[in-house]
Amino acid sequence: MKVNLMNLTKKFGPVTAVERINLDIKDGEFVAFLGPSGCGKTTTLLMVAGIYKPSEGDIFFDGQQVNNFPPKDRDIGMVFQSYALYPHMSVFQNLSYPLLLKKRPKDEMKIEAQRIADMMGIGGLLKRKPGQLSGGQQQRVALGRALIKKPKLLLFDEPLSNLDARLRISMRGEIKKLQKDLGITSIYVTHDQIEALTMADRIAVIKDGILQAYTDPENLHDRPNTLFIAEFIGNPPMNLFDVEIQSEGGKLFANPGDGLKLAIPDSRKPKKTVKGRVRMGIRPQNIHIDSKEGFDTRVFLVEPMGRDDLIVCKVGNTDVHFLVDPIMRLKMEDSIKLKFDMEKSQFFDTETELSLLWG
Amino acid sequence: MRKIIARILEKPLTSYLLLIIILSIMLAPIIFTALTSFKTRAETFRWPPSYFPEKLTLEAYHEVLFRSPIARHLLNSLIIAIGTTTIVMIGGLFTAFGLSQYKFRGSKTVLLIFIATRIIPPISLLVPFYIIMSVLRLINTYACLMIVNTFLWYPFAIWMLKSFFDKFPRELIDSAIVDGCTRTSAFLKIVIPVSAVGIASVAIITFLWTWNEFLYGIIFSNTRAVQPITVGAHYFVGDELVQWDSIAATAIITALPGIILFSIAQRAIVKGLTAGAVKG
Repeated sequence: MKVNLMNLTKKFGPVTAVERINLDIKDGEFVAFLGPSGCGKTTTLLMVAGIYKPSEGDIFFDGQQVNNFPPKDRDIGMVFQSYALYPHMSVFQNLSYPLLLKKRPKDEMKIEAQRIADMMGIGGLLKRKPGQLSGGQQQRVALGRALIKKPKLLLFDEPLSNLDARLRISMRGEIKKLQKDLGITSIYVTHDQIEALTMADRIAVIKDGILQAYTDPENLHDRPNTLFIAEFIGNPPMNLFDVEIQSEGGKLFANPGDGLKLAIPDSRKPKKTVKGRVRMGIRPQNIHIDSKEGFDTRVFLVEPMGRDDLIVCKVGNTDVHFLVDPIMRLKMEDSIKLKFDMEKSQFFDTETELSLLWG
Repeated sequence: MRKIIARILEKPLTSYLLLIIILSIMLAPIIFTALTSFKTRAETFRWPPSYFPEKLTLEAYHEVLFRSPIARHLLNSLIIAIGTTTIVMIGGLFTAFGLSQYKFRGSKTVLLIFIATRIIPPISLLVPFYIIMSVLRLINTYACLMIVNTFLWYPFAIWMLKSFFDKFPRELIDSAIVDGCTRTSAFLKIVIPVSAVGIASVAIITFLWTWNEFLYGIIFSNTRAVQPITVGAHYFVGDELVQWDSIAATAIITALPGIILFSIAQRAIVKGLTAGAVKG
């Protein structure tokens, strides 16, 4: 099912939670709503679900306006953060509840509940109560209950945030595979950028109720169009510097501090001619130790992260984070030579916080 | 000095001693009543009083249950208490859920007004209530006693129920609505069963308070056909003789439903129906 949001707005009294969001979701697409907590992503989802009524704007399912449809007439399934299983009902009753409300025959309910339970790997737990299940099993029941009525749109509200880290990773894969196998259009709300980047076909970044970007994960990571996205996406976060762009003999240079002059390659030349200071961003993975061309600095801090060591150095007043192989055994106060891969640098306007490279 | 007090308070013996002292003060009248109910009438008038009955006798119970209209009063109390509890719970559940989940302009004021009705001492409302009831020709009816008791316990019920519903996980209601419930059916099929323990305790307390109510009972009814048990016990106080043994036996009989209901409720609460509703 195609979903269109047009100028979707939600106000709670004087507070605007969601402001004029425009989105198109293609049939079968997996879209993530990503943003910090309180940014309006769940409010948007609840409007799509029909639990909240939009203050302004429209929601279209397959071209039909559904603003005034109650949730049960929207052909949706929803998975909640707390799972929201009915504690007084068994797993079977939980799974078959949507069918019971549709007044389907008992036999069909039994067959369908068993089929869904087997698909979710909880076939043997039908008689248990939710209180007797582990978090992961409860999550599967919640997912099964959302799927049993064969919805055309699946809505997820931070479904993995109550699971432990290891289970979260495996459920991430399972949900993604299930979604692709069933081909159900899905909206997935999360504040975890890794979940969004690994699972979604397209990501809508929302901040303060305003849509910041709506694009695929690769674009979001490599071509962030605002400073907020650059900071928010990527782990460890992007290093950001206050620099002045200087022109010398037709070439542009940036000065992040300590008297450094970094040549800006043609591919990264700001589109607009800028005067004064701009924000330069460079990701930790684009900073390398280079004993020939690098500049001198000292290791300020080493944070072992298992596969990599996260190194912190100082350039001017800015902490620079980057990753090295633990085999190098860097220690605090070691002298090293660093090189920034300027082909991967980003530039942002200090005032508008918009990208000077992509717009 | 402080240290010594702290050391004394830390001893488990201290807390047991304190409990024994407080409980004996609280239980003494009840125990004395129970003992009196097993005495012969002659013994109840002895001075100085005897604490333990010289001869255990069920004479008082026999008289109360078979030779006095107390059974009728028990039935009246049961009808009034069940009626009141039903009205309070059906109305209170919807009122409390509405005030808790669907906030509207002035919903806080409505709640405050409900509670404010209980700030006024019930005794000061006897006259206006009496006039209203006599105009409506309801004096001496079950309906009248149910109405005044509903007035007395409704604010408490919605106040308690609202606090349960305030804590009810919103997602559970949303989930039921996505699954195909209406607001009302989500309330009836999900919210009420999940909150059953809390609702049951409010119902039991409403029942017991109505059962124990005396003041409105004695003012608004004056025939044995409708008077509740609390008022009925009063008949054993005569002009010339107070039948202490019968009063004591009636008091014990009256207390029984309370004791039974509370022991059942306690078990239900331990069962913890709400466990596993949401992971938190």
